[in-house]
Amino acid sequence: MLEAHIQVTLKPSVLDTQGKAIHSALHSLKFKAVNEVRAGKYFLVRSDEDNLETFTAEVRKMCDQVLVNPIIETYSFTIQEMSKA
Amino acid sequence: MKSSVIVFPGSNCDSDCYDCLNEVTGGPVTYVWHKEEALPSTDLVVIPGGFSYGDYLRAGAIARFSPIMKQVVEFANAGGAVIGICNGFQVLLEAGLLEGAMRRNENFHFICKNVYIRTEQVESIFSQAMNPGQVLSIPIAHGEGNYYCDDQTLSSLKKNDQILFRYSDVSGQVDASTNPNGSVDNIAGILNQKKNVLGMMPHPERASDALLGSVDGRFIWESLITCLV
Repeated sequence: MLEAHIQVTLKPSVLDTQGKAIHSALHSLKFKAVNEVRAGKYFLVRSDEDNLETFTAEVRKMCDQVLVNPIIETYSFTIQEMSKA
Repeated sequence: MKSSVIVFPGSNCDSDCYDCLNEVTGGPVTYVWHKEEALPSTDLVVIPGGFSYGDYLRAGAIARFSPIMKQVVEFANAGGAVIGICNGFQVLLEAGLLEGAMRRNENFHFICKNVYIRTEQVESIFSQAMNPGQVLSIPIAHGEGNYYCDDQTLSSLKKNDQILFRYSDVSGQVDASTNPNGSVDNIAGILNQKKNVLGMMPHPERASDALLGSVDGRFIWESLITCLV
């Protein structure tokens, strides 16, 4: 069984208001060296699928069809054997 | 004029739309639960505001998979009149019936206030009762109304006269100071290419009764009555 770790972030060209707010919060906590924060989403998707190639194609479809809005967001993912709970 | 108001779990402007349409159009108005797989015979479909599915994932992202949305897309593709208000606009964007996407408001805040919007074109079923450039006073109430599209989409929206409303001041001046949420080009409402689908962040159903402080929303309903009946 496989699991996918999927990260979704706003495209670099899209203003990330959450990231900006967190950035200024970090500055007010004196993390002065911080020069950028981008906020995003993380999904863990576990599957009974065993075939790496099949699952990779499925995860890409999930991202394209629902998990990601391609107009403003971009994604990346890694796939591994399911970790023990 | 027969209207249908779609109800998702988390819709919270459905009753406002129902009452408003009943009052202004004389009805009949029908609530359509999102699990329904068919639309009643109708002239207008309204996707109301609210927080469908708690805005999980992205505003409007889950609602578009509701069974009724397949019918709404078919209705729209066949030329039927559809208006999405606030969360309804977000649902129409996620469903691909309108171009672009919504981001969080630029100032991070949920904004609930009266704004002015300028009517950018009157050659649509939603705006025939207005004069060119007419300014309407209509409230907004959203956290994610910061409209985004890329430059190419923006120029095609302009070229096809798909921008129906821009945030303005009371005199119709449109600039950065009259942009409440950071929307590209002050966009408050857009049409699809065939101009039978409108998405807008301001709430015309909250501005259709003198008791509520403005009746400017009525111009939209009256345009629809003229064109659809």
